[in-house]
Amino acid sequence: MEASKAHPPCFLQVENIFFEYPDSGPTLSDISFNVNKGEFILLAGANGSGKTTLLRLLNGLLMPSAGEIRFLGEPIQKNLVKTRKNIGMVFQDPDTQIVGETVFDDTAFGPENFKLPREEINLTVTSTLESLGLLDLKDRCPSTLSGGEKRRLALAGILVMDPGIILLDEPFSNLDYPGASSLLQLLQSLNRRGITMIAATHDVEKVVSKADRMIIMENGGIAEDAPPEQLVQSLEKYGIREPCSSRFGLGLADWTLGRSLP
Amino acid sequence: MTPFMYLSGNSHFHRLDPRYKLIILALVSISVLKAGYISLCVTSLLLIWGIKKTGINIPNAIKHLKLFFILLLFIFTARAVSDESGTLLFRLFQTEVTTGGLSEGGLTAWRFFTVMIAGMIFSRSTKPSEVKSAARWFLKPVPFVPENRAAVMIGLAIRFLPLILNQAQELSLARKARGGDFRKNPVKRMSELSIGLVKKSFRSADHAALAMESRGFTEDRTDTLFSPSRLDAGYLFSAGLLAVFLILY
Repeated sequence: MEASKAHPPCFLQVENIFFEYPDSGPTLSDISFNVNKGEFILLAGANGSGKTTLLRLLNGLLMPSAGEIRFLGEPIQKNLVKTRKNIGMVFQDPDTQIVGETVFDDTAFGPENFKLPREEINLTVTSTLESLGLLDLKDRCPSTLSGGEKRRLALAGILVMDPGIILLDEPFSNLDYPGASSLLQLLQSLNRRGITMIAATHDVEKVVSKADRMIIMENGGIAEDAPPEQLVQSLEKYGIREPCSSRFGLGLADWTLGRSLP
Repeated sequence: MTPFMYLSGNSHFHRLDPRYKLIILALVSISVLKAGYISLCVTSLLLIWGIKKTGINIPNAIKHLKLFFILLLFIFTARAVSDESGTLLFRLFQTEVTTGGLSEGGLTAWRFFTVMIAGMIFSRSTKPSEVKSAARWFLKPVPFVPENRAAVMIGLAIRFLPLILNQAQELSLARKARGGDFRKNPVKRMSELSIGLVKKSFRSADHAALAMESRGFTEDRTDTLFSPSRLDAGYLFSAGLLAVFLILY
């Protein structure tokens, strides 16, 4: 299933959304952008810029106070079941996202919520775990997994629902080099399969070379929206560290330098 | 890995229908409280067989049961000094220790130990999700009990307990690193730890609720399929016989 990136159809539209938490001032104001199928978007910004809130709005966990988010032309709040199935979200801390008592049970959590037949759940969970290299760990208690394995399990719980978009909140936080490197390769291969990725992070170094587009957030608004090559040198004025390769005049080099770790 | 954690396997214990397993555990646990030395010997032999079949590592289990052994010793001592039947063996600080007391103490401690080992074999060979499904099945006919919600709560409690314990350990270490253990007042020490732990637990619970919602959580979910076999019925029947034997002997 190779995605066509030439003229991808626009399938997520964010139109003039505003949002504020009950006990604080405006958190997001006048956010608009479109997401095309198969894109890899890097949502960058300093802490408190509104990245996580925006991801939660896209997943339908929060509702905008004004404006609209549409998935395939339909407002997402109209059918939250469809939204949650099509737009999966991986949280920053996988420990709070993983609710199953074993790797298999956690992956089956989503399909069970959608009342799929048990045989179908067993098949899809098995194939998802296999594709992420987690099948050998299917009976393991999630709390005994490594950080990288937990992150892959969190992804498995989303992938099993066959989403069109995956939202990732600080996907590389608390991961060591092998864990971050293998997650990066996994995200890239999922994106190649046609899954749209929106990764929110303040540490752009690892993922910037994989992104098609970078949206920079500042104080609850969109400050920039352009290909990473155009924005990378102006990152520091938004409180985001410029990647090393760019600082040394090497452009946007692959973070792993093309090395594949075991 | 504690001996109470599920370990995948293909033993009879692993393959047994979880509902039957729960009934067998309840039968053995209740009837063993009436058991004498002969039936405890027979039950212990069966449990040793269960330990072998479920792959429980005995040195590891002993290591994790250290505190339980202290509790057993306490139970044994309390029972030994409170029962004055039989021949007087010796006096200890005006307390008479008799053969009857020692025998009763040994019996009580052995009964508790048997229940603990039966529970260990059960949890070692049963997935928490199976326990949850079995609990839901048992609660279904009970009026005014939302069985799905109860089952989810059981599952989440099993899932998050190790996390909360880890957090408590981390907070305790963080306190120690700042000299918190030099504080003499145990109430203050406990309150410092518990306030932080409660805060962290609530935050984690909040995130877990959001994560569940983002994965489309609903109470009307796919049920677990139970497929009891003749072997399950055989085990249940044998457990019934064992329960009668335990009560009689």
